[in-house]
Amino acid sequence: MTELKENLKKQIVEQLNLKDLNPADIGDDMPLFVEGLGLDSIDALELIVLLQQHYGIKLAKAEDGPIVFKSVNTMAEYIMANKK
Amino acid sequence: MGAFINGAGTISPQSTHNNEVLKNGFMTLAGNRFSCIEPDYSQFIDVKQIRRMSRIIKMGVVAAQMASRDAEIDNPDAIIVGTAFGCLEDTNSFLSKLVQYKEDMLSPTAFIHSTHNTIAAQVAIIFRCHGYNSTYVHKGISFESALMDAVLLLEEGASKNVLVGGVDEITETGFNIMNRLGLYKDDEKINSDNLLHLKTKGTVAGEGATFFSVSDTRTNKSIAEIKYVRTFSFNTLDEVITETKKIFSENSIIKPDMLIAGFNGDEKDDKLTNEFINKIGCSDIATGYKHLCGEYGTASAFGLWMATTILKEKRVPVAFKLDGASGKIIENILLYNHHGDIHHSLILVTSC
Amino acid sequence: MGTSVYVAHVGIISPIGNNLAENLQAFEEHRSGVDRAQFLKTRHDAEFPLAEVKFTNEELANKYDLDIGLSRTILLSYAAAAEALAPFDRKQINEFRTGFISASTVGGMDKTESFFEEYINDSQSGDLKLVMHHDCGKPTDYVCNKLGLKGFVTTISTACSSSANAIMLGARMIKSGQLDIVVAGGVDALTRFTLNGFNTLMIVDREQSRPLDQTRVGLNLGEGAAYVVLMSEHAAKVFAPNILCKISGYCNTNDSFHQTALSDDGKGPFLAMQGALQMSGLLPSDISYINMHGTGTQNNDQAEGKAVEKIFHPNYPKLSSTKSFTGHTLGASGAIEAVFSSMAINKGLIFPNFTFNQPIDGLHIKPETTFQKNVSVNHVLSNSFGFGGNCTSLIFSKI
Repeated sequence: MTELKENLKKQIVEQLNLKDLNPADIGDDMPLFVEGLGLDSIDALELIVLLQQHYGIKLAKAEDGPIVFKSVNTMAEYIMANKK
Repeated sequence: MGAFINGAGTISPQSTHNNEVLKNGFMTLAGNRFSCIEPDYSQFIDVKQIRRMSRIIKMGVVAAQMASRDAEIDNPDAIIVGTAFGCLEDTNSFLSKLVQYKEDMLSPTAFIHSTHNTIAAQVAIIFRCHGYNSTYVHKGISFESALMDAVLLLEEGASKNVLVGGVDEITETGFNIMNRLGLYKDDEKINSDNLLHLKTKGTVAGEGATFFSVSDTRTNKSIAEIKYVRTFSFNTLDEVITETKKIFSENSIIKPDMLIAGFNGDEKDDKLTNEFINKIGCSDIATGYKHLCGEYGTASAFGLWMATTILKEKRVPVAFKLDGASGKIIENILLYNHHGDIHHSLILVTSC
Repeated sequence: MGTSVYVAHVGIISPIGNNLAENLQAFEEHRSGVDRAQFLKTRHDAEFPLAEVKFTNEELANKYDLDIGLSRTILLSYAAAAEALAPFDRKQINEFRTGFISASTVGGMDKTESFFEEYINDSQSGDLKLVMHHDCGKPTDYVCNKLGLKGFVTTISTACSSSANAIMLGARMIKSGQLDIVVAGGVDALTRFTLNGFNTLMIVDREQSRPLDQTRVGLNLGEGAAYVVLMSEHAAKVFAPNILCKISGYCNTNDSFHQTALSDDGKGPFLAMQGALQMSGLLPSDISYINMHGTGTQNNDQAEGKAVEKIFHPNYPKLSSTKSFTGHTLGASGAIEAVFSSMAINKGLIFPNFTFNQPIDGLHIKPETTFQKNVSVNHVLSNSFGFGGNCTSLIFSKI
């Protein structure tokens, strides 16, 4: 799980082009949207692509995004539950 | 009432973004591809916004900011952009992945930014401008179309301060395709010093982002007045010449002080340009600019930047070393360009 | 101040008809153009219904005597522009100061994506003829030249408000006395680039779209072209005894909020509609019908709905989204809807939604659900809102 979270952080930085951000600086529980990392709706769509490209998981409904992408923790849990 | 240029900013293959060109003059560029000398964009754009911006968007946004700072007007009420090919790298990125991944697992950012009006939209967000916003995408008259619209907007009283610009980029794919189409000269031995004298087929690729802050009133920052801007499409050269003579007469000009023309080094293109210049009796006062910035759809914006820089001091800066014009007082400049012998443009600017 | 601007004639090709008469007939028969993809070759053809013009490129080329190798964008553009100009003698038109202002979001991308199939594997491969159509100005030039027009020619690209802006520019140039006659409008052909692009935004419906309905989930993509022939008073007297209507107001603003989404309170749309009304000197109560932008996305319909409520509440004019019939034709949509708006005035028509069941939560607007004729239609407001916060409203009025 720890390895998954570390990888996720690196993938988030890459997918969202957060060049000046050290992946280690993203707290496991840090809010990704609005506050914390301050991501927006386009980033949510990019994270959907990230899930598909790296983990083979398709998030069918954009509305599930806010729950799944709340933090690195919630993302990791979702991946563990849905990974093929 | 009129249309006054109060500020300008350009990112180009010359050292224009930091005004070094005014001290050190134009550099001799070699090869058939002139790429921009770019500023540190992080000095201009917030880190949260910059991460998503591709190169051309950064170029456009920063050139707009430079023009706005130059004019000391930070609240434009309209933004108009001309771009012949739009955000090419974003288009290329999305298209390549679409083919590579067979329409699966595609990411939105490149698609969103491939829309041609992205630059104008991002400038609007940066300036929090809710006013008129448009983008023109018509080949070699994209910038002139934008400028015509800006002048019309000011005449209508619909806006008081317009940010208007021309932006285009070279990308690896874009250059490769244009080269295969035979548009560019072979690389060897081409440079900006000999480009306009070779009389062979082809030109060189260029790119740039140039913006102007234009208002309806003359201020103490005003650099130049736009007296006339118009495009002519599918007209004959003689029709363009007739109109040119009319412009001279309406502005009490027997002969302009200077003519800045879109020579690009291609034999056929320059033959037409020369024909125009000779027929209006201006061959001794004509100078080019595309040997400094390369050929691209909105290169005429760079030409206008050059004109405004000259009109600011009413003389050609010593560092520019342009043929046949140093030392002279310059109070009016005619700019002429054509695209493929089908589209012609004329701009007349005068000093303030 | 300045001459009035008249709509003298129109031309249109859309997923519901290949000319004006066929388009109007589709509304009579309550027939939508949204269907399973027939012409666009895409991996998603079973997943997303599309609103396609019901002609192959070959059929279009043969019908209009054009080269079969041309981009579909050029073929569609020519079809509509030729219909618009059909009643007028070309030589006579050119004696006046004319303009051709077109619009498109992706130009000849249909050909470019074919080029990339080969180019991606080898940068020296790919038929170069395919990329010669790429830029947005190319269809404009080709059609303008084929129609024998000259003078002021340009192309606008502001996403989904493109052709509304083309019409607005045409009107402004006539009003200011620079031009006498302008053919203005726009075109877009369906491409894999567009379909996949919108799919990445997750705003494409897997069924017939439901604009302005609480249950809406997205748009259906469409294609087409439309042009209006605008004339000054003087030119209209010479050419057009049967003018359709006039353009009494227009306004373009920028939402300046986000690249793809409108602000929650619909500021940009509100300012555009308010600006058009102010220019026309009309009150909200003067508007007989609103042709909504109404794409069927959560964001647009909510924001536009809110803006409409802010201006018109409690006395709403009849309104609808014709995109439920034609799909969202992107660069062509402003002009296609300008054609419908002109006909609404000229023939006393009210256009419906294709379907409607439930108003959007928190909003009162209820679109019409039947096609109505012989209605007194004095003023029509037509909205077009595009990516990049680009918001345009046009007002068409009885003469």
